[in-house]
Amino acid sequence: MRIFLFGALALLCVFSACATPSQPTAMVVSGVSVASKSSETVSITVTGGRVTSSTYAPQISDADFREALKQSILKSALFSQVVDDNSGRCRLSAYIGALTQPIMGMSFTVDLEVSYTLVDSTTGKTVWQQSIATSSTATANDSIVAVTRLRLANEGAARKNIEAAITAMGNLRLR
Amino acid sequence: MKTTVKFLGVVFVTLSLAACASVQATKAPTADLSKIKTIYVQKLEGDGYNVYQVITAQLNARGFKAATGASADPPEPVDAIVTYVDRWMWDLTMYMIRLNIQVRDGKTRTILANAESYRPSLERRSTEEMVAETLDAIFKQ
Repeated sequence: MRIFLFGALALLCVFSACATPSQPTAMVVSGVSVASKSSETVSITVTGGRVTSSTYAPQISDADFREALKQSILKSALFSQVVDDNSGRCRLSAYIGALTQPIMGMSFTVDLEVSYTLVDSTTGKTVWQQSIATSSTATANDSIVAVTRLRLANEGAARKNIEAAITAMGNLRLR
Repeated sequence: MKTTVKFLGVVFVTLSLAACASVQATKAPTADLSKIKTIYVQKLEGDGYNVYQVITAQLNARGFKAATGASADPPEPVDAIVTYVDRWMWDLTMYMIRLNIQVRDGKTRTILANAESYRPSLERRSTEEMVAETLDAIFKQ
């Protein structure tokens, strides 16, 4: 009986650990080579993300995705500066349209789809618009704890997504 | 054997109770869903519960002109494409634990809005109710 209770408790600890949100630092991409860099500034707005509840699956919040996008853009030097208000010469908006997660399993694959729009704020014209879908898988080798595995898969999908977005914007030949 | 069954039972019940039902929806900042009149529901590959038919029927009941098919491309131009992902679990019977529905632009397939309904075992609902509450969340934004 004691073994039974101990085993059940141990399994519960593994399966029902509190969910933690995807970390901005783990979603940052470095070393993205961009074809051309812009000397302009950019403002970033992110919508569609969700705050993580401790009893549910790890999510990606607007603020965390924005921070990761900002740091990744700065590392790539795609724009000269990322401004925190809406005064950038370019305005980049990202809408987290879908974060599809598995319910259970040893190997978790997360699909993330983000719609990006880059607008020239002086002309109001849309310079670039693209919906980018990426996936990432985390296995039991990455973590035995399910919610951690799910968070790692989220972060991996976000990194790939941000990298694809920066690469695409780098090909725009922005001034 | 009895102990194993008890053991799995305790774990499963706890997991089932670990979260509450929720419906959440988001919309792209520039999206205007009021302009949508025609919709194509893209059947999810391997949909064994005919969720695509329920979504299509409920969209038609809401006044949209909705059609469905397995192809990613609608047979004729539409204002919006609906995609979805349903997740099922077993607890005495099969039930839908999560439903995600995305409304996409008919031309670019960019996501305009999305909603998720999550219902663990004790708060389970029929497919029709899950679809209804998810569509409500999308179109009442």
